[in-house]
Amino acid sequence: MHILITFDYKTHYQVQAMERKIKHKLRPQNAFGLAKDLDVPASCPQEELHQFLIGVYGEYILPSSVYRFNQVLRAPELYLSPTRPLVSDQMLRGVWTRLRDRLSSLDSDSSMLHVTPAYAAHFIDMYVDKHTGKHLTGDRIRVLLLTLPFLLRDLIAPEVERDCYTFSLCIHTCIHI
Amino acid sequence: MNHQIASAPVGSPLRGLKPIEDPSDEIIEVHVSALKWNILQRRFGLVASDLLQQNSVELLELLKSNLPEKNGDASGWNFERAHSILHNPREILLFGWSENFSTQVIVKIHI
Repeated sequence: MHILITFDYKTHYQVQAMERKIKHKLRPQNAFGLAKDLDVPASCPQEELHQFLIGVYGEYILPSSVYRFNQVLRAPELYLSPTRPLVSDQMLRGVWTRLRDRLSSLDSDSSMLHVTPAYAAHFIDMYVDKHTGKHLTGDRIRVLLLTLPFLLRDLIAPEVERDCYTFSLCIHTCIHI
Repeated sequence: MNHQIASAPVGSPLRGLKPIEDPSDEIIEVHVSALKWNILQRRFGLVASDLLQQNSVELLELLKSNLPEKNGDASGWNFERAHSILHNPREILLFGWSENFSTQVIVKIHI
């Protein structure tokens, strides 16, 4: 506490020089920090779990990735009529089923971690179907952080490259076999 | 889709559209940067904040450029939680190793 309050000119100038170098405030003036008896709680750091794993990655980066894929597949110009998209609901579902299957195919022999089909289904429920009652803990989000860079590769390549009509028939046939 | 765009007949709404590009590479670039940032900020003895600061800026710039519309939200990535990745180096400078302020041991008890 004493260290936080004492004003040390040498440190102050060092911090100032570093702030100029990295172009970012290391010690910004925070109004909470000036409030009586609130300076210590206000200066406490946000820990990794809630700040990054769940906070930034789970809450924003993952939904934004799903949104980007949806945005490409369901772009307004890719509608044959106002109610008929080029990529049908069935084809769109096929994309997320593909991701679910890629995720559940990970095992400890090949990937050093094992993902169960239940976890993969939970991921799809949470991020694609937007179930509001489903959540993932930080450690389970970390599984996605480690694996998704590999699993997202060419995720929608079949839809982009192939003929949608033939591809839709293939999916339809596969589902009904 | 590209096959149908290329062979779209006259009068079709698809005629003349540019080929669709798979955004996987750009999305993966963000995920790799996030993974790199996370691994780096957990490293023990990280005293010089320059490297993490540089990675934080890169990650935030990638988020803005590769996932520009976030969840369809017009405000983009201009909010506190995303900005907090820039504050992390300061917290490491003040409090030391990121594990010093980790709550994961407590949370693991609930798994």
